[in-house]
This record gives sequence, structure tokens and C-alpha cells, in this order.
Amino acid sequence: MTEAGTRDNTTQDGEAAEFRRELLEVLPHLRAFARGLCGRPDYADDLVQEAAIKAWGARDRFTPGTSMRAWTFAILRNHYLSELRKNRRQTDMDDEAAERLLVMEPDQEGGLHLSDMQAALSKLPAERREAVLLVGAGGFTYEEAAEISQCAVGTMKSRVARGRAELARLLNVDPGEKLVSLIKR
Amino acid sequence: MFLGDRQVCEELDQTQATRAWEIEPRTNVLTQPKGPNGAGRRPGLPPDTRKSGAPGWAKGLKNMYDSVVNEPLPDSFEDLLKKLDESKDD
Repeated sequence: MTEAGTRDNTTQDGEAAEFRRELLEVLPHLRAFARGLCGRPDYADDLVQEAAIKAWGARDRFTPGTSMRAWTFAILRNHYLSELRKNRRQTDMDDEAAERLLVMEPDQEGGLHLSDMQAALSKLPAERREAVLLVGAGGFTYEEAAEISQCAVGTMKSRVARGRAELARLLNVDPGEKLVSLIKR
Repeated sequence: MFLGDRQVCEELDQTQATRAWEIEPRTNVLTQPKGPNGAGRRPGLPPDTRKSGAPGWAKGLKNMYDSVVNEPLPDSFEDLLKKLDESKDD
């Protein structure tokens, strides 16, 4: 095994460099996904960095030629969910997180702003939020998204549909006046 | 009878979720739920909605994602980048 290891050193270096390049390339996407998931830019960036370290450590398990974005998204979402579960056991932190979510006020200038979207997203159950982010924002197919979320394709389709319907309701009903002004514009 | 109608509505909500918000205010929703020109017949909607059949917020979701993707990496990522670079020499 060591013999093979030394013989393949050059190949391995090349693969590691390629892996690193691809990993760096998807960092902006990981940031966008993480921010959509948790709604807090700083925490999202922490999650991304931790996920990137995990991905680097597990690079032997990555199959070259497959989607680095899908692979790292799965690592990120698993990491996020396990952090979520960890935090849920600590009620103090949970309250703090809830408070931070409440502080996120929609922009007052009218029209549909990013913060409206983020606020609406934060009201969805985690699995639907993840589903609309993967398919609606990240551009993954239902099949890819299902693989990332480790669920059946049908389940993913239903999560996306429900998530979208919920978003539509939240963005319609809640800032109702804004929408009317948008339509009349 | 009403129960049956409601079931149809619920099914629509799931299968046509992207259009759910335009279906709601229509009175003839049950007789013509999937009219291909349904969106076009509603002149009051924003252009985005008329064109794609997807409501404006769907684009907002994509915009939100893209706006973060297009941000430069913040300074807080320096350590991570350094770490990845150093492990090159392992």
C-alpha cells in the first residue's frame, strides 16, 4: 500500500490541487446556500468554513468528475442540521437565535426586497427551506436535490411545492400593501 | 360537493404551487385551472409574472442566492484559504 502510495504521489498531488481548485470555486455557492438556510450572514460563513474543512478532510471520498457543488452542499446541510440539533438542546442559544430572526425586519421602502424573502424563508420548516433553496435558487434538479437531502425524489418534489406555496402565501399576505404597489407600478 | 372542490384545490396547491398565488383570486379556478394563457389574461401582474408564469418572488429567491454568490469572499475566509494552501505541502 505504501509502494502504491509513493508511486501515485504525483497523481495524488494533481488530484488534490484539482480538488482544492473546485472547492474554492464552490465557496460562493456554499455561502449563498448557507445564508439562505440560516438567515444570518456571520453564522452562515462559519458554517461554510467548517463544511469546507470537512470536505477537504474527506476529499478521498469525492469522486473526481462528479459535482463538487452537490457534494459540498450535502456536507454543509448535514453540518448545519447537526449544529441545529446541538443548539436545540441548549435553550439559551435557541432563544437567542429566535430573537435574531425576529429582529430581521423587512425593508420599509416597498417592493419585494431580499430581506422580505429571507424573512419569509426563515418561517419555513427547515426541510422545505432547504428544498426551495436547492431547486428554486441553486438550480439543482429534483433528483440532485433529493440526493443532497437524502430523501426520495417524490418527497423532494412535495417539499419544493409546499415550500413555494408557503413562500407565496407569506410574501403575499404579510407585506400585502407592498405587493399591491408592485402590481400597480 | 364542496368537499370535492376543496380536494381539487388542495391538489392544485401541490402540483401547481408556483402558480398558487395567481390561482387564488380567480373565480373560475375549478373549471379552468390550467389554462395555458391564464397568466396572460391578467393584465395587472408584473411583466416577469406574465412572461414566465412564475411569480415575482420566485425570481427574488434566485436573485437573493445570486447576490451572495457574486459577493467577494470576506476577509474571514483568509484563514481557510491559507489552511487549504498549506496542506498542499503535506
